[in-house]
Amino acid sequence: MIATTHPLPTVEPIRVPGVAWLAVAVAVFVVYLMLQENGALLASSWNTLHELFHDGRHALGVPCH
Amino acid sequence: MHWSYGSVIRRALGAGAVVGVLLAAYLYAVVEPVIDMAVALEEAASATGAADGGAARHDDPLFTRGEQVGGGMAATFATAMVVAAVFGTVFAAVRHRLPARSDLPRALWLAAVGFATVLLIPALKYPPSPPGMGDADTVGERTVVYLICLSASVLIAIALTRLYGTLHARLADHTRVVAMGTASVVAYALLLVVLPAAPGSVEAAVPADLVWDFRVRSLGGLALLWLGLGLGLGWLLDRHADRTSDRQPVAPGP
Repeated sequence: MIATTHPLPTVEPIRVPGVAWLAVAVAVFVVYLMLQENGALLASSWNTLHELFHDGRHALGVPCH
Repeated sequence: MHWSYGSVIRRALGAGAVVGVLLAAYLYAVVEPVIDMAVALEEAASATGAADGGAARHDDPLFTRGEQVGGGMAATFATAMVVAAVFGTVFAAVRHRLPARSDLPRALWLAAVGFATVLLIPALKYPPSPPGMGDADTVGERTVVYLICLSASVLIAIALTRLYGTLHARLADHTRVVAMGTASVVAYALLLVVLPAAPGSVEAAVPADLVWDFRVRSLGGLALLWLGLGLGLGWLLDRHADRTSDRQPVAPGP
C-alpha cells in the first residue's frame, strides 16, 4: 500500500467547515453522557442513564459494574 | 473526483445508520445471551448474600431486563451514528493524505487506524467485561483511567502521523515503514505499561470461560462497527465516482 511503483495521485483536500467540528464535539459529548457518565457531571439522573444503557455499556466495552 | 464535506458526511451517516441497525441486532442476538447468563449468576450470588457492593445496585432495579435490552440497542445505534459522524469528518479532513488510489482502501485504512486507536488499545488494558465483574464503587475510577487511555492513544496516533510526515524527507520508503512500525510498538507498549491496572475489577464469581466468551463477542461487534463504516463509506464514495467518470468520457463525441 505504501511502497508502490507508481506515484499515488495527488488529491485535492476537502474543506471541513468549523461548524462540523463543533457538531462532532457535541455528538461525542452525547455519547459520553450515554456511556461514560457515572456522576461526574450529572448530580441526580446519572444512575438512571447508567441503568437504562447498562447492556450497551457492557457490549461496547465501557467500564460498568 | 473532488468531494464536498456535505457529500462525504451524508454517505458516512448513511453507512452509520445501516451499521447501527446491524449492530443493535448483533447486540440482541450475540451479546445479550452472555449478558443474561452473567446477570443470572450475579442475582444468584446476591440472593445467597455472597456478593458485596458490586451486585447491591441490582437489588432494586430501575429498569426491567427487557428495558435494559431496549436501552442497550438504542445506545448501540446512537453510538454507531456518532462514530460515523466523527469518522466521516476525520476522513474528509485527512483524505488527501491517506495512501491509496481510491476511497474504498482509503476509508478502510482510516477505519483500521480508528479501530486500533479508539478501541483495541484501551481494550487491551481495560477489556470489556460482563455484568458482575466490576465493583460499583470503583466505576468512576475505572472510567477515568479508561478515558485517559483512550485520549493518550489518540494523541499518540496523531504524533505518529506527524513523525511519518517528518521522516518523509529523511528516510527511504522501506526504512521509514520499519522505523514507524518500531516507533508505534514502543509508544503503545509504554502507554500500556505506564497506565495503572483497572482498580477492583475481576471478581472470582464470574467463570473465566464466560468472561472470555463475552469479550470475544463484544470486541467482534466493535470490529464489525469499524469494518462496516470503512466499507460502507468507501463503497458509497467509489460507486458515485465510478458512475460520474463513466458518464464523462462519452460527452465529447463527434
